[in-house]
Amino acid sequence: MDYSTLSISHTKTDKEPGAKLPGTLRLISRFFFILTVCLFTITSCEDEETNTGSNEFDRSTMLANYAHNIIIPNYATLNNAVDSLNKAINNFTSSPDTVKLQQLREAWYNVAMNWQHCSTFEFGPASDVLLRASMNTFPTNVDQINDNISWGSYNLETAGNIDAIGLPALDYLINGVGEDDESIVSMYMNNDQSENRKQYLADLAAQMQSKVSAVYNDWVTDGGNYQKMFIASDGMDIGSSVGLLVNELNFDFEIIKNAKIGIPLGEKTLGSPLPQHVEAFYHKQSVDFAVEHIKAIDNIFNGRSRAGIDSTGLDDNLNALDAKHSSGIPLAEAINNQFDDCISAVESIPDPLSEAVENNSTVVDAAHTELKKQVVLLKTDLPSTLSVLITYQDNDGD
Amino acid sequence: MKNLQKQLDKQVYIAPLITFRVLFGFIMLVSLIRFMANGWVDQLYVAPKFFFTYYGFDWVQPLNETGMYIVFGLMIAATIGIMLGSFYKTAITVFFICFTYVELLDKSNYLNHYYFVSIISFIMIWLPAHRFFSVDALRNPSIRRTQVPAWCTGSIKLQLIIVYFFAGLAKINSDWLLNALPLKIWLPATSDLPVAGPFMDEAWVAYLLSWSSCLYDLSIPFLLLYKKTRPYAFMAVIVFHVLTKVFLPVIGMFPYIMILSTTIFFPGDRHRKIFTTIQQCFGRLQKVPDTELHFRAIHKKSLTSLFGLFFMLQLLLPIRYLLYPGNLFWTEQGYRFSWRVMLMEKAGTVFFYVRDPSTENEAEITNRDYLTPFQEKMMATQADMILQYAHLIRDEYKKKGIKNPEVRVESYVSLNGTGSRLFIDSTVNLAAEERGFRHKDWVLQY
Repeated sequence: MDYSTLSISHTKTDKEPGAKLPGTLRLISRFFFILTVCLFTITSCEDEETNTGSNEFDRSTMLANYAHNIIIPNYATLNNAVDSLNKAINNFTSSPDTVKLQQLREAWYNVAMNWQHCSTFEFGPASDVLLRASMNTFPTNVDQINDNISWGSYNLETAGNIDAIGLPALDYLINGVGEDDESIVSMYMNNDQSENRKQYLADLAAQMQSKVSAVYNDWVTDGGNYQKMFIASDGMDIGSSVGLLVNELNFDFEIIKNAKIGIPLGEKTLGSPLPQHVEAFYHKQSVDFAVEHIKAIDNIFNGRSRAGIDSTGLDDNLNALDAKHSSGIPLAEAINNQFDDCISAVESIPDPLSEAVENNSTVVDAAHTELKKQVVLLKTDLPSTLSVLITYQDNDGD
Repeated sequence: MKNLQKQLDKQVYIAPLITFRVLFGFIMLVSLIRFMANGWVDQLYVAPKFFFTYYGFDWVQPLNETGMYIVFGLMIAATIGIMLGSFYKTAITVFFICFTYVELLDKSNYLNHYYFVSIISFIMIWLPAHRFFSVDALRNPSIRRTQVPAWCTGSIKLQLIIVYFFAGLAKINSDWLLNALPLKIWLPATSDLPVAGPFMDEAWVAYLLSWSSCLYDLSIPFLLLYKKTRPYAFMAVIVFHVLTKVFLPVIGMFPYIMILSTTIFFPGDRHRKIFTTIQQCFGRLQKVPDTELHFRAIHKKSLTSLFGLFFMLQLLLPIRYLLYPGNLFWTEQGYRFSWRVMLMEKAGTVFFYVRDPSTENEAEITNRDYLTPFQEKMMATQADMILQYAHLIRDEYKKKGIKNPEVRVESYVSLNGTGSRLFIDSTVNLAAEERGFRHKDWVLQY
């Protein structure tokens, strides 16, 4: 069949003058001609049009809100907290006692809480210095830390030391090196390695300070001014700011589900719990940090600052697109409901989490299930409505 | 039948085939350089620990990093050979084998336009595309011909007709035509475009583009066949494919390949003029007497059977989905190799659970431990890949000493923005399910 059509065409094209065209084809070709003219008209004449339509959504406004009211203020607070931590460490190491240890712990707690609000932004400046992995890779490697201390010489930037630095390593050093406060303090006074240990403490804090301040300075106007690029890159392709934000928001939320709750619960070990794998194992307030982390991502999704000022965020983008959940309610509402469910489910886990995973596993398991539901919404529904590609590499599609 | 045979054997100018050869070699060269420059050889063929092979082609395995780069090097050399018509038959054969080899390695990377390149290069192996304007003909003037049987260009045209027509047929579905999906989801993402951007949020634009692209695909090959409509049709080809590139930037090289390919529809004398002009530019215009190419009877007979079989398959593959129950877009049984291009927005999340039946203990799999993010994304929405991955997990846990590990999935997929819903029956032990072309009854109905 097709061959005969084909060969007729040869007859026409190669030798004979064009025969009379069938009516439908003429009609279709006219349609294309008109369509082409229309499309050119749209694309060439209306450039003065401004975005006034009700369902139009300006992504650069949203990105500006993220940069100015969320990302930069969160980094600024973190940066200050890290400064205080450094001071507390200097104060402690100059003449260790239990009061200064307590002050140091408070400074550490402050950094750890603030970190939950910055963990998501692992792109641009943060990814340049591997901030997320450097700040919070847990469980920390106690043997590696003690080896480093006894050797007295180490390079904290190597991959081998990634689980011997950051908040979890500090957690061990200020909460886990002794049974009680006196014995912890004594490790910094009457121990053959107390000088090395003090130095290690100071080096960890200094490394953290250099990374956090580098990232903060890269974002601000009088520094690297990454915010300008972040706001300007308002497309939806790979590497665009919305794409980066949604990808990292996803990745970060999966950290809560897997690393913070799932793995300690035995998610990867055929149900045998791994209590030592919780975040802040020695400090024992793992649940607090997990809840703060969910709240932080909730804020980010809604474009809400930590002061509670709600401005343009991903939720508004979804609403502008009239995105619906499979139940029929707006997708943004479904995601917010699920944030609430996650928070209350995780909050109901009694701290320390390391004990709850063994004695109270049904409660932890229930929290894990709520987190899983949110992973689905954030990883499937959100990007597929926004048309963001959930992938970390460029690729063709068709 | 006799008349058909006569039409196929009729001698026509070789020029369109030559243009096609040069442009195909050129665009493949550009594509390969772009592919390598983007670091995709490493990302797609060196970095992954596991490859999603095609059923029946599990023996196609990747080489090491050096080996993969050698394959790409060979392909680049081959594209230059094709372009110049130098050792053409070897070049096109090497290109076909290498390209198809690479595509068979991992179905995560399946793209309709890669499939198109594979089959076009297969067709070209059998065509006398080196008998004019080529290094081969320069070296050995006795092979030079100005005329070839019509089927030589006709086979490529037929393949293009099949591509467009089936792409158009696939668009005749209620989501595409009645709901303007998935364009309604994709277009607002381009609202930052300088000029057309503000219109991309408008529903009527999505409808206009959905309907016109359907009509375009169905009619364009025929409009290209008729002399009177051809110039408009070619203009439409350019506009359409440029627009797809603008609105759907992830579409890659496909638009360029299609624009260049459709030049084969222009008649021989048009193409011939181009070559005459080029030769004039080089100041070596020699009047070549018309010489015809006639295939030997046995050669012709075997080619007729080969092409007959080949095109029969081309017509059957896109409709094989009719053999499966359920919604094609949801189950994707019979979806690939059918010219379903940019037809749906699909995303998914899958949690894999492996269970030791002797202790009833269960573990959740971290997909990133085994797959690249890209593979994970592709796997999450395609049932055959979910099964393959389940088997990988089964085998890994067997190695860890667990007898008969059971693998179950909790899998959510959102199709065309309708929201995520359960995709695979989460009670089924996928470790015990077999791969194959049979209907997968563990895929839930849409």
